[in-house]
Amino acid sequence: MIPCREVVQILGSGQEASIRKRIEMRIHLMMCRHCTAYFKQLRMLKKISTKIFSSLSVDSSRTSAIELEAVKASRQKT
Amino acid sequence: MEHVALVCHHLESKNAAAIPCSDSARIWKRLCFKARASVSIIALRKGSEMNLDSNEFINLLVARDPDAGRKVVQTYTRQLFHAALGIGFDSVSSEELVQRVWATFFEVLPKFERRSKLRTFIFGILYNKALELRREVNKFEVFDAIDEYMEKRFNEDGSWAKPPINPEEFAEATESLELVEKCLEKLPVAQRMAFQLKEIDDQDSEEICKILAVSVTNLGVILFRARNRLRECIEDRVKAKKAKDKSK
Repeated sequence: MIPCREVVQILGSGQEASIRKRIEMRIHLMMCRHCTAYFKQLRMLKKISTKIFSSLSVDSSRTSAIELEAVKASRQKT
Repeated sequence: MEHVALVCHHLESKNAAAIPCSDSARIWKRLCFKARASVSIIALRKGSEMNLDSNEFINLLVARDPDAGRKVVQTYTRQLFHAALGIGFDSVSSEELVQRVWATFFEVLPKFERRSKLRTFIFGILYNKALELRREVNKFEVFDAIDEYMEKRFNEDGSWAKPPINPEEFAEATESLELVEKCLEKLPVAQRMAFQLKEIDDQDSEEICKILAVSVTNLGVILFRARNRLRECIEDRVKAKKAKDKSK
């Protein structure tokens, strides 16, 4: 039986696991409420951070100022 | 020129090695190169879609073609600015940061080895400039306090010693964007950037590794630290609030 520490290690790092490991993890998650709670936390983190990221407002006047400068820089030969 | 380019394409697809004299082959090659470049310029001027990762486009860019320069700037400035805000810079610093990215980009462009996508190359510069602005070092840290902290949450046999808090309480806490933002602020640039590229942009690990200049294994460690630091921070706040409510 795969221990909780290893489940957390694989879930947290997102590292590739063999098919056997993945099956073991599934079974583990079905039986272990703590690891399931951990798994849910990671899912919530993804959701909330995506929400935060999309709520950031990109100021168009700033980006056009940058673009203007950058286009100038693109023409200068080094 | 468009016709020449077409002929080139046609001949090459039929294996142009048939041209006998090496001199004429060289001339032919040059002609093809020029024809392709001018066709690309025409495409750019017309504003039609062009693959920014194609050799032709990069050639134009390196040759300081003004349209190519504008195209790349217009394609990525917003993305870069958004990413800068995402890793915690305010809009004034983000503007400065992105400006530095472009200045550096055009400076180092001739050295671009074309082994990665253009976007990856540009985001790699963003990452390095972000570290510079924050005065952090682009070094994979062997030691991070969060590793030890996580280790302590388990018993020797690998089972939970201090299990996660109940998911409902955690969910409730994450409803406060402000709370999560505060926790995000505690992440070093590398962890925040990796987390953002992975969880929000859904980028391939391979590209993220190139941007951060780390191995796949180290990326896993960085993501592990980022995610756990975040969830520990949120858990701590839930626990602190509970303790406060109790003492009332």
